[in-house]
Amino acid sequence: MQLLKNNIVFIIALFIVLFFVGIGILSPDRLSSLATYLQERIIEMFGWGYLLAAFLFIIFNLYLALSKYGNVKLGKDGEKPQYSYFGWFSMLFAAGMGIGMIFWGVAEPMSHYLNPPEYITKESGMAAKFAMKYSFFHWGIQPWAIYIVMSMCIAYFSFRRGMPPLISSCFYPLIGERIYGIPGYLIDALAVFATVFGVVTSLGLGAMQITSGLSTVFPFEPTFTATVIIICVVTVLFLISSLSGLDKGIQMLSKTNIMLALALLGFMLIAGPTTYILDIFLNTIADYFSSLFNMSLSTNPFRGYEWTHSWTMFYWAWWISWSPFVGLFVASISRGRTIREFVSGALIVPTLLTFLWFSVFGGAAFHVEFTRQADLARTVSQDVSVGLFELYEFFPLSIGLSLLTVALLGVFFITSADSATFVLSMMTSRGRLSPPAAKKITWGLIISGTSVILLYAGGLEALQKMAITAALPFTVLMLFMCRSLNKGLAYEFRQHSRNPYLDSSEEKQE
Amino acid sequence: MLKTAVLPLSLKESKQRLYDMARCLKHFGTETVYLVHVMARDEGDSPKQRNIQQTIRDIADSLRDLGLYVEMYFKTGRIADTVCQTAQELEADYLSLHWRKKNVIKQTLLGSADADILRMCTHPVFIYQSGGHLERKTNLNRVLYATDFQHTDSAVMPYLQNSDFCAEILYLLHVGERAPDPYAEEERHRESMRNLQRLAEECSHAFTTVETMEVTGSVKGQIIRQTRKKKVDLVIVGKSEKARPLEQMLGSVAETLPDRTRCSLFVVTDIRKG
Repeated sequence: MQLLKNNIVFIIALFIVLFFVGIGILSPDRLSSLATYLQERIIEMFGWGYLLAAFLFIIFNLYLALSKYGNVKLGKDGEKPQYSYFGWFSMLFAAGMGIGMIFWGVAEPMSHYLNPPEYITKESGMAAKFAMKYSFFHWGIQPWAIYIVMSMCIAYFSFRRGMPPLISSCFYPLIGERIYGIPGYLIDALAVFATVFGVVTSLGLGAMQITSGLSTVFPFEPTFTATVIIICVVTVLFLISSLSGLDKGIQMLSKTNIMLALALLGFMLIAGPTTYILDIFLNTIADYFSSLFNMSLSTNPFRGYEWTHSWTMFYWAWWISWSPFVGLFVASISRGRTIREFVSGALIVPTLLTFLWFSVFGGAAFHVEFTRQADLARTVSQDVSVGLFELYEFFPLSIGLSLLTVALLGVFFITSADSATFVLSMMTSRGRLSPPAAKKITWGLIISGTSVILLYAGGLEALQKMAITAALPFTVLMLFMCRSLNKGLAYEFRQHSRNPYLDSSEEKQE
Repeated sequence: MLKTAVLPLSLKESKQRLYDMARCLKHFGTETVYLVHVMARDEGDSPKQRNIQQTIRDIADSLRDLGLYVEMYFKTGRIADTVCQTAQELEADYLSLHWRKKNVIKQTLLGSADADILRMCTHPVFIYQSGGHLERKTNLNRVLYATDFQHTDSAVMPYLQNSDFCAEILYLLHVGERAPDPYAEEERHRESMRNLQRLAEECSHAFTTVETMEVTGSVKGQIIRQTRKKKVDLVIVGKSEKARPLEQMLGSVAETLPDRTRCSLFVVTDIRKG
């Protein structure tokens, strides 16, 4: 009975995952139509809620960082941070959005440039300006604000209040002991569900990108077999990394990643149109901050409605559905930092690096598009994954750059899968910070196996859409988490045990 | 401590209910009642004015029959301000309101003089609710004091220690906010119980039984729930002048309770502003 209770989340989550994967294998079309319907309906009806929630999360983070709560440690008083700033930022970046940036660094600005909302002329200067501004917006402060809310709540309740590092722990001030019952199990199982589906689709789609990247360098066809081989290699590597523990594996890989990414960024900045890129960087930062409030709450009901649905709201749903995984991981590496340090560090540094990345790669792509008539935008519109490799064709050492990018993608994948395995095992082991190796292997194999099967049968994108549907309950849960964290922090600053009336009568007696 | 009461009259009250309320006041040990009627403007010696004065005289006579000393005051001005000011001038011990519930729309559009008095008055306010348990009996049996362990305790405790309410059972209720983790919650609960126990000891001589209760949740909701559960006759709450911004906008617990419960209330204001 105790064994069952200890593994109840594991069993529930495994059942849900296998159920949907089963549908994905047996009837991918049915899963796809169901997932598309659900996702479209949710975004249509609650998209405004995603925008509002993401904006509220920014305000909440700033409020915590700037208020008296900013000095509260995400750990016991006097505890020091476990990782150096460099190690922490590297892991933050790797888990948060490293891989997505490589994928979308060129592709997103090009896509918006070619297909802006209907009120902007396609392929115009205005479209380019809009493309850069919205690329910044989609990868800027909001995603990090979402991640910060989740991770700060988990870190506070786990490391400061001594509860297991689970999402359900964050609800103790609101529902008390019921976190150890059905409501708690459902919250954690939902988190596992969103994480597994998100990682499975990322692994599948990412493996396809690595295959197409390698095929531009080496003479082979990007077939299904090649993708399977890549998934197998990645699986073996991330399992080795995962079994070696958080301190060694993920930290080392993340540091390697960030070094490679910075090297690539530096090369592109120097070898590319440096002044043009820096102009774009500054100009877009100005555009971004001057219209941040407007973009944050614009559901655009009068014009650009469809575009906002398919991009901004989709992104917000995606970030929210990813937040349990990233949140748990970021929480586990942020022990010992103060709330102010955590919010400012996680909000400013990764955002600035992201802006620089988009300016360098997006700016270089626009330069090539405008000066060499490269038609990069149309290439991207046909296959998003090849955008970056196509750009390299216009740069010196293009083969080396492609190989470096593939290596970066590979390492980012290993890091993501590694941290996902760690987080899934932790969530399904009642929040043990050193989850059993058997569970890590089980989740690792489930993720990889499911990716391969769904790549073969189809239904990978349907599964991704299913993962995004989890954003709706998580948005609500995260708003309650803010309330819960605020209550928890307020408790620390309130002297519950003291009664001014009784204290004064005691003093009088003395 | 509850010798003199100011009783504002709108003349919409039924005589029977006023009589029932006066019996309660007598039960508290009240000897003097000041009947205050506030008019928007002075209408001189008009027939309407004479009518009003006659009605109030009749009410005063019926209250005198109960053995109360009654004085009448006819004032002009804004009801809430004038009532509070009169209570101050007469150095009354408390105010007694015959509360009439108004629905949200009515209250929003027309306002409520009773609610304004409760909000503005620094004197203790007894809110008599018709239809509550009190109506059916002459004696108070169960009294509940909802404490927040703050300065309001020092304003309320003297009334409980002086046995002004002459009740059998006193329930001391604390509605706390749940701590952020189970260990801290256990500590908080233990500390709250200890505080309640100490309060109970201080007023144990004035009641046959003093029971303590500690719960978590919404303060308003829990007071209403426990009142119903324990079949309480009178709820005593403290009201702080140092309200939080949200309370200032939506009304404090003490200000919103009369519309949410059928029970009579005694609201004591802690006038220190911190």
